[in-house]
Amino acid sequence: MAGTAVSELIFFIAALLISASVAGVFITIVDEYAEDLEDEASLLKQDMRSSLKVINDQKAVPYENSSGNLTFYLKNVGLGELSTADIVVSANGTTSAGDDIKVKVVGGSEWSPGRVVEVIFKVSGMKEGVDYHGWASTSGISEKGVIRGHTQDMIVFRIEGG
Amino acid sequence: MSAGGAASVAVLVFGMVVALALAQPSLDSAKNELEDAREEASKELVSIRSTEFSITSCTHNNTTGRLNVTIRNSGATVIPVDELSFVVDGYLRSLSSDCGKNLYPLGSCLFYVKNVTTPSRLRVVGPYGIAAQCDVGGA
Repeated sequence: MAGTAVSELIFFIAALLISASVAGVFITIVDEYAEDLEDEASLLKQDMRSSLKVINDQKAVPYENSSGNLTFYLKNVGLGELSTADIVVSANGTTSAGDDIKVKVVGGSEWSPGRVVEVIFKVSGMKEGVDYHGWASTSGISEKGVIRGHTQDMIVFRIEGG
Repeated sequence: MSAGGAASVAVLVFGMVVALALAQPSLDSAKNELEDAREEASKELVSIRSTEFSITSCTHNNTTGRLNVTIRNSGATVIPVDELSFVVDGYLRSLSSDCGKNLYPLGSCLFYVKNVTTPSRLRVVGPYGIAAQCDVGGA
């Protein structure tokens, strides 16, 4: 009798331990799944918020022959603010960012939705009548001011030299 | 089954139920957040598809140096006037108009770009990057 009681007690303790560990694992899995879902939602929202477009006239992108300065106009066509500090531009294989580009927000200081940013950067040896490829990219800024999301746009263009 | 065995099974089932009850709220909240984001994305897509405008005339007055552009909202959404960008011969120019803050569906509005010398091409870019172009004629 005493033996049976002891073995049942052992069974019961083992069941408690198994139950606790199974519950723990189950909670961890569901929590991780919930976190994944939240991340996906956040990314989807941020991708929607961050969107830029190169709005130059593709047939006449401003280019200064003497200095090699090329001008891109980038419009914020998303729902949230974009970062001017993270702008990267490229044309004819020359990529520029940071101190190598001049950035001016037209009509304001922050790159809010609907606003255009003028970006001037150096690309040497461009010629009129030749087709070039270019792109621009930047990061989005969340409502809390955190850098989140990414946006990029491409353009096939010709220059108008002056 | 002995009493101990039954109690063990009961404890196991109870543990699972408690785990499910603990995990349920966070799963629910994440699911709701994802549904909201998807709904917002779908609304945005509808908005993009129903935004449309066209340039009905673009003429340049050599005497005044003014480029006059009439734009018609041919879509089903309101276009905020300050979201329109004018690129004249490749250069971004500021515009003025007398049509208030918004261009309503099926409405037209006259825009001006001042101090322009013999322009040849105009590109107008609106919300979502939707654009229209025209060759400028003389007035």
